[in-house]
Amino acid sequence: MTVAARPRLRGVVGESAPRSDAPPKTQGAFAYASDLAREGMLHGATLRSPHPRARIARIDVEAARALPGVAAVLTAADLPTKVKFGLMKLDQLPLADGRVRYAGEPVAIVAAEDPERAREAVRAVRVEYEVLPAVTDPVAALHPDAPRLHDDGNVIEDVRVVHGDPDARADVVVEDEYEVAMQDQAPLGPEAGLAIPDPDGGVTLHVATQWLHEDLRQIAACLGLPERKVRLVLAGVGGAFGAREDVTLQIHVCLLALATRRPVRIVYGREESFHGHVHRHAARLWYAHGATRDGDLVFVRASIVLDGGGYASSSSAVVANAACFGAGPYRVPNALIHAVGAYTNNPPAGAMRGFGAVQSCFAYEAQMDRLAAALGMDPVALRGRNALRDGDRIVTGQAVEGSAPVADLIRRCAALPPPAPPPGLIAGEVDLTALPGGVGNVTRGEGVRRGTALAVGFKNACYSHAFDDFSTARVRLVRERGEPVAYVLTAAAEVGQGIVGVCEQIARTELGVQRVVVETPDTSIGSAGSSSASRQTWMTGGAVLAACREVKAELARRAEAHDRVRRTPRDGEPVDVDLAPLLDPPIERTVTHRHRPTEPRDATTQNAGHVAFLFAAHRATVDVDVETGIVKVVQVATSQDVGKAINPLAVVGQLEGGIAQGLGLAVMEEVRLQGGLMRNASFTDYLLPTTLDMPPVVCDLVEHPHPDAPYGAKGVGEPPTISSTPAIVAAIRAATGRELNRVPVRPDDIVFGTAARSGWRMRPGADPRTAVRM
Amino acid sequence: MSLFSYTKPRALSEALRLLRGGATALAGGTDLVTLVRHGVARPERLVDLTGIEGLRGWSREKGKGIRIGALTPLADLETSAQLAKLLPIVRESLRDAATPQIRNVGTVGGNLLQRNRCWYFRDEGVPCWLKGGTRCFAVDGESRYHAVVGAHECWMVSPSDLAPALIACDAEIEVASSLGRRRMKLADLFVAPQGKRRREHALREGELVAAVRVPEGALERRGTYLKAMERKAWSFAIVSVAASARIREGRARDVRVVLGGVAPVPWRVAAAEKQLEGTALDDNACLAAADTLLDGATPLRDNGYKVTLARELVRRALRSLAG
Repeated sequence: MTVAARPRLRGVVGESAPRSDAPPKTQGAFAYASDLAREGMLHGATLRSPHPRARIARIDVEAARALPGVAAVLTAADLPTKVKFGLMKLDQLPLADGRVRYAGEPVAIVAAEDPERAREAVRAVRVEYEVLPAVTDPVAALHPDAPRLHDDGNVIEDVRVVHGDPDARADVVVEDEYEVAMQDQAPLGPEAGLAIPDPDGGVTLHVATQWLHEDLRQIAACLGLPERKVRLVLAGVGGAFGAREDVTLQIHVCLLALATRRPVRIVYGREESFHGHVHRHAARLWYAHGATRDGDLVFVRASIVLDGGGYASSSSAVVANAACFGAGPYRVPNALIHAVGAYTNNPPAGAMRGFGAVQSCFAYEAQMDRLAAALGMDPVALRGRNALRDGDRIVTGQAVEGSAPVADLIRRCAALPPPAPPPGLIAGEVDLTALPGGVGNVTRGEGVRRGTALAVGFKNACYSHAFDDFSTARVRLVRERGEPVAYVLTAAAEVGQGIVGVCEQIARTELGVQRVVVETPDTSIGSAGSSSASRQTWMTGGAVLAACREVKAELARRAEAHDRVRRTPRDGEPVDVDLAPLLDPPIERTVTHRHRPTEPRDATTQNAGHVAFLFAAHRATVDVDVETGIVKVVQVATSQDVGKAINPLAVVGQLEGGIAQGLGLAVMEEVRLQGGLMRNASFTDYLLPTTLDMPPVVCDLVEHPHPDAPYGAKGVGEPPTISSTPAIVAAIRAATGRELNRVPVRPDDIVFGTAARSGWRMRPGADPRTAVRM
Repeated sequence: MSLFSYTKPRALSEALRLLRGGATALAGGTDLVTLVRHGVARPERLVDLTGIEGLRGWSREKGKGIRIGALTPLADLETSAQLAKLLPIVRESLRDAATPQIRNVGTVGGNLLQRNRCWYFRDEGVPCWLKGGTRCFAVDGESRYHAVVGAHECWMVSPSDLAPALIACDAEIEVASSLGRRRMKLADLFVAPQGKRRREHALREGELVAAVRVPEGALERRGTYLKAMERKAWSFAIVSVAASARIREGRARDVRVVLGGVAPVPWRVAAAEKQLEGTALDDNACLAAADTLLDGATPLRDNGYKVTLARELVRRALRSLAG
C-alpha cells in the first residue's frame, strides 16, 4: 500500500524559517515610518531648550507665526490640558511650561508647508531663559542641600534588597567602585510619525513605537480626548532597543494635526533623535563581595546610583532591576543592595536593552574576577562553584523555577572552540583587518597581547512586581481560493526582533495551514504590551498560541458536526480535512494571555516579583595593542538558555545583535555630556561598532524549556547585551593587567591605566544619599 | 537650510568668474552639505564644479611626477593599481578615509579643503572663536579630539588623511582664479587660525584648487601612513602619521614625517626630519625625532593620550620604512 505524500508545512516552530518582513527590508522596499506621506501634509519641527536648567521668562512666537508657509506655532500656553505624561510617573508636560530640566527639552512646536520653513520658524521663536546652575552629578543631586529639580525632590526611585544577614562577615573581601557611561540605543530609523485629524474631532497616528497602547494612553490624556478618539497604527520601525518605549514626538504631531486640521508629519534627524529619546542610565556603583577561603560567596553589598536625567521615564523599574539582579546569577546567602535613581539636569534616561541588569552586571562580574584573584582561584571555577541551580533563591528570596542552568552555561561556554592564535609579527602583505588597528595600519603585530575571559549574567523576562502584564491576539481562519488562510492580528510591535515571524510560525504549527498573514498592528485590538523586557514571544506568542488553539477547537467541533474525519494536525503536517464547508463563516477567536501574577515589591524586596529568569554566559577573546591601547575583539562565544528556539536563525541574529551593542558599550559607545550638554549627537562622533569591529560569534543555544512559556521559549533579546560587556572588558584586563573600572574602555585608559573615580566616598550597601565628598 | 542659488557651469572660466563674485564652490558636497544642514555654513550662491571637464583624473608625465585633478574622486585614487605602485602611501591614506560611499563622491580638492571636525565649531549654537566668537570652547571643555600642539586661538585639528600623505610626498598644488594660476606647496595651504585669520586654509577669495602635483623625486621614496582610530573603520584619526624616506645602504635620506589629528595643520617640524637624515631609523633615532616633533606640546584636559600615541606611531612608521 502506498500513501500519497502530502506537502509538508514549511516554516513551523523550530525551523529557521524566512520572515515575511525580511525581503522588503533587505531590498529597500519596506516602508519605514519616515517614509510616511499624505497628500497636503504639513511638516512639524521642534524647538528645544539649549540649557539644561532654566526658567522660561518669556516666549515670543509672533515672528515665527508671521513667516510665510507656517501653519501653527504652539507652546505650553496652547496645550489643551496641563496633564503630564510619562511611562511610569507623570512628570513631564509635552511642552515646557515655565522651566526646563534638560538641554533638548521641547519648548515649542511648529507646522509648516515644508521642512525648511518649519526649521526657519523654529529659529524665529524667541525664548528668554533665565539660566540656572545645572545639577549634573547624580550623587550630588541626592544630597539634601541639592536644588530640588522636581516638586517631590530628586529621588525617582529608591530600592533596597536586604537578604539574609546584611552585616555578614567573610574571610576574603574585595571592594571597588565602578562606572557605566550613558549609552544610546541608536536605532538606525529615526523617530517619525504622521498624524491625521479625524472628522470626529479625534486623530489617527501612524508611528514607529514599541508599545501602541501605552502611547495611546499618554497621548489621549495630554490631548484631553477620550481614548476612543485616538487611534494608533504601527508604522515601519527601524530598530528600537528601548528608545521607542517613551513618548517623543507622538503628542506633538497630534497637537499640530488637531490645531491645523491637516495631516502633519514629524521626522527627526539623527542629531534630534539623540536629543529626543531617553538613553541607557549612566551609573556609579560601589561593590563589596565577601567569600570563604574556599571560594563560597558569603555576601554581596552594593550601592548603586543611576542618573535618571530630567524626567523619570522608566527609571523606577530600571532601578529595581539593577538592585534585584545586582548580585548576579549566584548563590548569595547575604546581600544588601541599595539602588537609587536620581533626577538631574542631564538628558533623561529610560529603557535600553538589558534595562538595569547591564549596569550591575558590569560591576559584579568585575568583582567576581577580583575575588578569584584574591582567592587565588580560577575565575571560571569560582563562577561555576557559586552558580545558581534549579530551585535556588536569588537575593530577592525568589526561587528560580523552570531551570537555572548557570553552571551548565558556564561550563559549555568555556568549552566552546577558541579562535585561532594571534598572528604574531607580520612582514609584507597582511590582512590588516585581523589586527587591532584595522586598516589604519597601526600595528603589524607589535605590542599585541591576547586576553580571554568569561562573564555570566541574568535578568527577568516580562514585566515584574505585580504589573498586569498581558497580550491580546485575534486569529481568523478563512478560506481564500479554496485554500485556508490564517490572519493574525495583535498590537505587538515588530521592531526588528522577529515577532512577525514568531506569530507566523506558531499559527502555522498550531493550525496546520501554510498561509499565515500577520496584519499591521493597531489599537483596534487589545494591548500587546511593549516590545521590550524580552517578552513578546512569551506574551504575544502565547496569546497567538492560545487563540489558535481555540480556533482549532472550533474547527474540530464543526468537523464533527459535519461528520468528517477529524484529525489533529501533527507537527509539520497540514490540517487533514477539507476545510471548504467548515470555514463558512470563517472562524475568529480573540484571546488575552496573561503570565502568572507577580508579587509587589516590599521594603526589603524579598518577594517573588518576577516571572522567570534568563541566563547567558559570554567568553570574549581580545587582542590589545598595549602601546597604543587599541583593542580588537577577536571572538565572542556565548552559551544562552533560550528555552526553545522558535526560529534558531532569528535567535542567533538576536544574540549577535545584542553582543554588538554589548561590545559598543565595552569599547566605544558613550553619550558625552559636559554640564548637561551633549557633545556628540551624531554618528560621526558617537561611535557604533562597524562590521570590522564585530568579531565572529560562536553561538551555543541551550534549550531548557520553561513550563509557562509557549513551547518553552524564553525571551532571548536582552541577555546578549548583559554579560558580553563585562566579558570583553575582563578580557582586556587579562591582556593588559589594567584595572579598567569604567565602560566604555578608551585607548588612553589602557595606555595610562587610569581608573574612574567619582570623588564620592561610599560604603557599599549604604544609602547612596549618605555619600561623602572625598 | 537657508535659500541659495545654484549654478553648474561647464567651463572652468565660468566657475572662476562666479567664485570671484563670492560664490561658494561645491564638489562632492560630502562636507559642505552637512555644514549647510547644520546651519554652520550659509552660502548664498553655490557653484557646482562637477560639470567641469579637465579637473578629473590623474596622469604621470615622465620626469615631471604625477598630476592629480582636484575633482578626482578619492575612490579613483584608492582603487588605481597603477597609482598604488607609484605612490602606495596615497592608497594607504585613503583606504580608511571616511566610507566607500563618501570616497566615491568626495574629491581630492574637497578632502584637502574640508572644514575641521571640532564639535564646538560644528554646533550651530556655540559661538566659537573660529566662527567669529570670542573664545575656543575646547580649551576648558570636552577636548578629547583637539590639538596638542601648534594651536593659537583655535584648538581644532586638521582632519584630512590625504593631506599628511601628500605633504610627505612634497606635493604642490595648482591654484586657479579668474586672475590666473599660481603654484604653492600643499603644506602652505594649511594655516593655523590665528589673529585676524579665522580660517584653516590659505586660499584667497575667488581661488580654487585645480590640481595636486607630486614631484618625480618623491616617487623614489618609501612611504607609509598609519592612522589610529577608536574603531576599525569610518572614523577620523585620533592621530595619524605619514612618513617617507629614501633608504640607501640602510641609511635614511630625505625623511618626511607629517602628523594628522594633532594640530590645526598637518604637523611637520623640519628639525625632526633633519635629525633623522643618515640614521638607520633605529628606535632611538625615531623616538628622538618624535620628541622633537612634539616638543612644546601642551595637551588639554582630555587629550594627553595623543602625545603618547603620536610618539609611538612615529616610531612604528619610521621603523617600517627601515625594515
